[in-house]
Amino acid sequence: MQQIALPSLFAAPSADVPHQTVPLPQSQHQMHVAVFTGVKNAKEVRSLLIKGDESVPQMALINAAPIVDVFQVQMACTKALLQQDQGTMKTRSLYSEILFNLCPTTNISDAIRQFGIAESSSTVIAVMLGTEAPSVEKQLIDLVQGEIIEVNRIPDFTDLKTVNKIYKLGNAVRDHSETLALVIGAMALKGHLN
Amino acid sequence: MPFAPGRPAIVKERFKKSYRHPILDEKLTTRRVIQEARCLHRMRRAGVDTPTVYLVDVKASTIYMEYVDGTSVRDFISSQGPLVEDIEIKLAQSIGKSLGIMHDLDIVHGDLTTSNMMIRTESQSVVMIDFGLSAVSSMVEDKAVDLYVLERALISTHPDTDRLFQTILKHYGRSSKGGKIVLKKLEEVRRRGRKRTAFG
Repeated sequence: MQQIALPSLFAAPSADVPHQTVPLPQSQHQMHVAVFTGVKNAKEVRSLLIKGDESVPQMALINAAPIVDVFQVQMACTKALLQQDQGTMKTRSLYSEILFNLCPTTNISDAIRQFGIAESSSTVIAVMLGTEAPSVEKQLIDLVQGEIIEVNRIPDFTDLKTVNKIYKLGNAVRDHSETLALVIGAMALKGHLN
Repeated sequence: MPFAPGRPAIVKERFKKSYRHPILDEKLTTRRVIQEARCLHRMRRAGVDTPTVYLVDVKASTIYMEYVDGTSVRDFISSQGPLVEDIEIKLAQSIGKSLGIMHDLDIVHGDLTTSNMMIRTESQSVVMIDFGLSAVSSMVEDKAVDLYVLERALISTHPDTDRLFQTILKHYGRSSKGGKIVLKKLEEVRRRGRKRTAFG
């Protein structure tokens, strides 16, 4: 799994030291990512995941089609950790909160359906959060049958049609960074637009 | 501050106003934080360049947004001396168009100055920043005052930018659907100043 740092957030300064900012504890967390492509057993993995089978480690299994860039996943994770700290999570676990945060709307079942691994998923992003490298790497590789690729190749597997539909971006042609900017903005303003 | 690799961010926090009642203060602060982030995002969606909103921490009244690498339009104009005509036209066109789209979204910036516009180093695109005083209003009056504030700011910070402002208005009128009416109102606002008098 590739280790990726998460954006560090800052705690609000206290009233007596107005200009000091303190990094929050979640900035010590690392995001551990593995991207699988050519996945053959998505249907099976999904049903094991739903059953809560022991062969599935605690993690988020993300459908790569609506993912534009790894930064999108980083932001969803950072927000999930922040919400865990603040006690404002909307779903039952940290990993379902990541899927929820990727979604621009506040419907939990829509979020899981759009961003969770689907029966037809051929590219899947496995994400774990923690301060140390996870010990379940082998378990993960045994579970998901596919080829592991570099995280920076995520854009090669994006389905822009799906992205435009989920984030309501219309059909205008945009470059990668502009699409990413609009996606990140839509995630940040989840529930606050209109 | 380093945010994610290669993505520096700006952290903008609204402070507690201790002179306000705590419950009222919390409600107002929350509303304004969301308002600011929402304006930035709506503008970007409509094709106006603004900093990308990365994260809104409502509880801490903090917005994390993209750090824009560039110079403010203010510093740009000051460093250039008298503007070369085609640079001036390009700049005015970009500002005018952005303002037109913004007002068509019923967003009133509230603090239009050349310090609140930036030019990206890489793409030379004009970026609108600081929507901390922005409001949503469909009133022609509010939009005209918005432009008037910019005109006054231009006059006081940069001498000889009359032509620049005129060109901004020209492109504003072209890009905004309700532009003509706003420009007409601007003349009225100029005669009486920013504040409307209470007596007829």
